Amino acid sequence: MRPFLPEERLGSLLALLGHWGEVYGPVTTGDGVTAFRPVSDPGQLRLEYRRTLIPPKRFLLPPRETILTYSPDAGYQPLDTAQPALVLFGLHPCDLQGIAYLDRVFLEGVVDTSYRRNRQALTIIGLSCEPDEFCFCGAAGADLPAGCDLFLQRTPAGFFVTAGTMKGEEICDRSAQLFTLRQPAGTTPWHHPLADAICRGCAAGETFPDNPLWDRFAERCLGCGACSACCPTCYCYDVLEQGGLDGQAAERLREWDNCLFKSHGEVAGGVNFRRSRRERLQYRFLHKYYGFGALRGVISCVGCGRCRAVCPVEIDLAALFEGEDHDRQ
Amino acid sequence: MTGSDSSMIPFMAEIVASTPLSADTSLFRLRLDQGIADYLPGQFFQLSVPAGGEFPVSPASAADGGGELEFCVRRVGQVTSHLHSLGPGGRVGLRGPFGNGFPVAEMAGAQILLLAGGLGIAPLRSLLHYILREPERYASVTLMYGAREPAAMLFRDELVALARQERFRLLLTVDFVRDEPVDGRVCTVGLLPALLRGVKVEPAATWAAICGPPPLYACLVAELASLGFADERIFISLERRMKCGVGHCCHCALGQLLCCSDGPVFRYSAIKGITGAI
Amino acid sequence: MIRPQLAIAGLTACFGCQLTLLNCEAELPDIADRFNFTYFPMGMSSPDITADFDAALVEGAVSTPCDLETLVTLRNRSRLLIAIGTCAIFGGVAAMCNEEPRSRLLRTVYGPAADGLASFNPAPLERFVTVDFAVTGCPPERGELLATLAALLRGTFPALPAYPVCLECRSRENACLLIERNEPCLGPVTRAGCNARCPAMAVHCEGCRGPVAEANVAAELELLIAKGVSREELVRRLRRFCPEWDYEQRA
Repeated sequence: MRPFLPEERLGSLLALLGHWGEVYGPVTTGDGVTAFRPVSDPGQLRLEYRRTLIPPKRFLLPPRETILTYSPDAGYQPLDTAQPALVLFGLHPCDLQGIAYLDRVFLEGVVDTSYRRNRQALTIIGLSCEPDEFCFCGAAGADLPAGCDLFLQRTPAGFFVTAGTMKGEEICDRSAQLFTLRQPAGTTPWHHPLADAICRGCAAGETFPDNPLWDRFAERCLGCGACSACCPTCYCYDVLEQGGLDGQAAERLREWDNCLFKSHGEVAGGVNFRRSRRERLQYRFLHKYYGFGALRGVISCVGCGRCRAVCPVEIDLAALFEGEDHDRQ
Repeated sequence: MTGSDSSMIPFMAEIVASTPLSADTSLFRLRLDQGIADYLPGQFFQLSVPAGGEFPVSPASAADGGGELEFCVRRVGQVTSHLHSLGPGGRVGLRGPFGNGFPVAEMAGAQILLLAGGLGIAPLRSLLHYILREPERYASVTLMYGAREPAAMLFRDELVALARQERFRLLLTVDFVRDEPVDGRVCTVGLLPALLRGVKVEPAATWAAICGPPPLYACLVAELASLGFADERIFISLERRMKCGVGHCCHCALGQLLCCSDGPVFRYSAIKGITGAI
Repeated sequence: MIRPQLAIAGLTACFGCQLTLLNCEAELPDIADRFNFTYFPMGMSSPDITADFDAALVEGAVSTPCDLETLVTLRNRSRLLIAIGTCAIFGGVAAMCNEEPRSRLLRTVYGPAADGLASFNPAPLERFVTVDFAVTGCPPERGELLATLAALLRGTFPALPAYPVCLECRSRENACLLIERNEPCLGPVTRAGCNARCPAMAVHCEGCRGPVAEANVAAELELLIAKGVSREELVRRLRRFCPEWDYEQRA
């Protein structure tokens, strides 16, 4: 028997979660886009959503943020603002896996203080999902995917609840009166053939250097950067500095960068280490499927399907593992 | 200067001297507001010009237990131009040191062959100063330094003066001569790989260290290989667009290695098979 | 700190770029404190072009002998010359019909009076003089203008976005007009910095900030043609702000 939250009590859980911070969940915006937005009423939640356009990484690594300020007297100082506590509700296993990966990048080894501040402000509530034609994660059906405080396994009548952290336990304790006990029906973990193909390919060290797909991709890639902007595990950033009009103060900002952009591989004097689109696509491929630096050998593609869904010209790097182009034109 | 804060937040330093070395390159001597500048030859810092931005640069000096260090900077973009506009008393920030320098402990006892092209002299000057502080710990040190033309040769007088030492052999070369005649006693005309070809070395007892503009590496490595150098005995200091210095921002990968945290000094054997590394 | 001497001039243009600067009301006192305005015909009563300038900010395309004279004078008198706005950088709206005979265009607008007018095809500043820096946009973003002024105080230039509008558009979580609405959005080939202002209002990008570095123009055309837009219409749209795209360019 396991704790079970009947669907009609979801509103009560949301209200209770308010103790841990403002609750954000998947909603449909006026634009028709699925995005994490503040929710107060379970009616706003899109529990059956497939994926948000921008993954939850935006709460950890905002598209643009000031990281340091400078003044002649104080030198460079970290931004001294407390991050308001947030509860992210309804994250799918792929996005949870994405956050777990970002945690490894920014919290293991040299700690990124800005990321840590944002991360510590989060309470994360996972939610099981149903795949569609774009996604291919291998984690569906697992009881407790990595990285969440609480995980909700959805059934037609409500949710089986599992705590993943101390904070999750605390939430369970505080909301115990909302739960009943039920016997879980056995969920069947499923394997997507593409996820299997990726694992096999990576295990064999395949980079497909002679595959004609590279040239076809490079020819039509618009370089818009959507694949990486929308990827839950893409975290390249650029750092810029802006002076104030007083001629004294300055701010250091960082913003999302993108390996599909020309400037990404440039060094002083105009040398570019990734001159062609093909090289840039291969850089992205290598980073996603093989990892860089301390995370060498870690596949960071979580199978969320965003890059396939948002590419205007239907480039799908994972297609290399299958050997066929998904261009539907 | 360790720990996460000094990695992410620049500490301040003052320019105590800026000495022009060529038309576009100056040597900046910085004094940290606090603490000791501790680093190994080949490691790099992120140098901040307030309101301008940051760029990665390896010291041209060797740590001497004091709070000062030197950077050799060419005026090439907005931030470096901004730095050049600052005189003594100018304020700058530093983060670091980052990455792996030259394996000085491993190099002890052997012959050292330094191959520098252009601005690549900077980190090798750091290594040279390091070595010449205790020259008796090395069998010998040879610096072969190629510049575009005589006027672009950095530190010439200093190097010539150092070469009076017994264990230090200096060979200078320029690609071409325009106006200024070269002093044939200290400098030849020709490319660095050609100069290397005519020099007697003992590959099995020598460590080679290379730093220069990207096109130089492949030629020099090929030349060293033909002289009998094992890939493991060649160290290369590489340049990439390092934004963070700590393995986060992902601009500087060569293959799966990150130049900032796995380098910037690499053993050639570690990067040999990587497309585009050199 | 230096107190730069500025010239701000408009050539063939709507003067909207200069107006953007004047609209920075909150910052104007700071700007007036730190710069000398010596030549700014739109903003002062007795502009003096005979001074020596640290920087000249020039709006508009060059289409008359008078434009050219002003431009050359400013280039000669100013240490830095900064093109502001799409017209100054690419020719802009003024150059939209450059492939048609100038004389016919002039007669359409001015009738018989056209014959006495000295006018040539509007062209970007770079065609005539060296340009040190450019702030694109129709009009430029005020933040980018202010960042440029702030950098000038320190004798440098700011880092402005060189990537496509799509990155800003996606990060604002807008619906993709290309994919979701099948609209002929020029975001992928257009330089960002506007924070995707138009797509955020469900209006597809018209490319007013000009081409992004290494725009894949050929693939964008193929994509939009496949969506049913004619090549002629696309070329007309692209030409609106920048007359000289390379339609075959992929990298």
